[in-house]
Amino acid sequence: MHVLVIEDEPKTSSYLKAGLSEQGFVVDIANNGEDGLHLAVHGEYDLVLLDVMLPRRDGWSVLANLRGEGNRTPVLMLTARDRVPDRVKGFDLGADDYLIKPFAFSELLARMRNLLRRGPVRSVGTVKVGDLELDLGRQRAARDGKRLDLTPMEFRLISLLARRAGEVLSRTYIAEQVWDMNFDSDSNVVEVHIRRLRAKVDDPFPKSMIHTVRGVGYVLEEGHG
Amino acid sequence: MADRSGGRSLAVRLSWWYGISSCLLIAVVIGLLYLALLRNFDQQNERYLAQKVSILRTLLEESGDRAATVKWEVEEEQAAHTSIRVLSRILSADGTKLYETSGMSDELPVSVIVGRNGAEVRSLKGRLYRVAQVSLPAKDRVLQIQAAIDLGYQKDLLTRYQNQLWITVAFGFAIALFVGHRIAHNGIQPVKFMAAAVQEISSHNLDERIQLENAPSELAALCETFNQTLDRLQDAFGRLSQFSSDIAHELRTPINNVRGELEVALAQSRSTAQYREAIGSALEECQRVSRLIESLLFLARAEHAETGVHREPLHLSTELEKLVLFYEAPAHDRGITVDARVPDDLYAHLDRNLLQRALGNLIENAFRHTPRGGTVTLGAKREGERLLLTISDTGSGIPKAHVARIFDRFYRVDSARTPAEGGAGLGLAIVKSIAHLHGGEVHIDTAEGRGTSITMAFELTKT
Repeated sequence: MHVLVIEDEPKTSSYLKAGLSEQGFVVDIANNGEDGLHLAVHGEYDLVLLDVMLPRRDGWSVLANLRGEGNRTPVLMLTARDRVPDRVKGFDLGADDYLIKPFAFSELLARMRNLLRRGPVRSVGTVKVGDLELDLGRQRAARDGKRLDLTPMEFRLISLLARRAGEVLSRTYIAEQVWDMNFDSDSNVVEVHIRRLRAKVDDPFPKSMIHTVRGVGYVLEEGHG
Repeated sequence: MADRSGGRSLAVRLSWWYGISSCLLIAVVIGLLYLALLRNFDQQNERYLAQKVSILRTLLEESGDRAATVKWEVEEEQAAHTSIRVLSRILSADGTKLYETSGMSDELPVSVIVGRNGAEVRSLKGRLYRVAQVSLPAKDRVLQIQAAIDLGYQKDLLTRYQNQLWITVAFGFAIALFVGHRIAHNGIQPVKFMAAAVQEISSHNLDERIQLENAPSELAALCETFNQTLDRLQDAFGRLSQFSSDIAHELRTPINNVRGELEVALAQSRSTAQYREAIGSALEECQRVSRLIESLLFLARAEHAETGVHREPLHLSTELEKLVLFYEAPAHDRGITVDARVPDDLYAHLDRNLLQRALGNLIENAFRHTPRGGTVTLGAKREGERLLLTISDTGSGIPKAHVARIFDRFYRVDSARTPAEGGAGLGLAIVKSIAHLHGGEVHIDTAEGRGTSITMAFELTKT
């Protein structure tokens, strides 16, 4: 996957490049709007991350020109300006998504994958991660062949983690996807749910699958340690 | 009172009005008196003339035209009067003069009077007379009586009188202007005093108030209003500066943590696990700062109604059940029961995300104040045209002293409570602003030791 990052703040672009490269993306950086537009038009990118405040040509203009050229590459805007009119302007100009600084890197990854996938998430069939097996249609979970007794919400939580296995999901994202709670809270509600899920999914087995990435979120991985 | 704001000074304006109106009043009164005087003179003149004619007629009829009395009456009677000169003459039928007051022909020859009964006539010498001519059939012939009354004396009097009137009006006007100016000036004095007092007030001495002694009632009201404005301003100012220092304090702790942890981590070589721990912890602090900034921005924008409210029809029991599902686990951990009591047919147009955020804040707040074994209840009901959303707990309640300020930013009931336990103290402020964004309001009902319920009320007609 080829991603273009148009961002003039060197620290931001450098951590984006490092982080995205680790996740398997090939990353190009443009540190001003003019170069960014040139690369976006002439390169073959799967996704563009676009800052709004840029030297030489601002993000709005880059986006407008890109869409003016008939280029439909998904564009995710990154900005510290989150007034409602700004967001509306972004979407009007043809942005696909909008992320406000400061954002969690895991959140950025989740949104990028969403844009790249752009298909409905599978809700039937089975998902298998290591010895964990989920039957999405019948809402049944089993590990090592043993049936897990989960509440419907716990099943939604484990299936979200399993479908995105290996991906660190932030608490906010989890709350949004599982409980449809669209606000960021200081509280540890998601942590409590994860702890209860672990008691059923990990504790009875020698290897745990649900891991906490401190300060970032949670990830489900094939059991180790 | 200089010409400061474009308009003319109130005192000057008032004195002009006083001056002009008094002047008009004087002029009207004097004018009416003058007219009355003129009329009086006219009537008097007419009476004198008529009297003269009637005396002559009587004498002529009784004694005939040769009688000495007639001659005396015509030629000599005038001497008896000093102020009013009445001239007269008697003509025979063929127009020859029989008698006349001496010198009459020099001024008023026969021809001047003929045919002008009742008119005012200017004599050959330029004096003004009112004249009368009456035909008198006597025995076998017709006699003519001509009489004239001298108006010159009256005219002189009136002219003098007129001049005096003009002088009086002019003086009156000047006096009225002066008195008016004094009155206006004195009347305006408290306003000037107030302006000076107000000018003295700035952000440094917002605690000062305007004190007008013996202020007229209109100004007293203005003073009162202004002082109340100052009260509110002072209050707002106080909150604002408290708010700034609260923000600084709230930021200080997490930033201090990040700085310290990272410094310590870098001070010597450590295991990967220790680095992870340090970075993770720093990350958590960053998230805390991010959330704080987000909350502050939210509040600031809500105050200026910049936050977009995206209303959609919500089935309230579904929304509240979702919250119960989300909060059930942490409640269970705390030994608290959460449940929702919502009629199934309740709908409202509200912003889903904002509603969740407000209710989430209220639930988390209730958790903090409810001991093990307690219950937190989410209620929704319709009351008339209002929708009431209530979160009630069986917790410790809020002491009376805190109730009034509970919705203020950064206000914590227990000041010793750390942010980790109690949040940044913005939760309830956000609840309040979310209610306001929807045109609703928040009420709190609390009794120490018996629990608290906080209600958001929305107009259903608006929702």
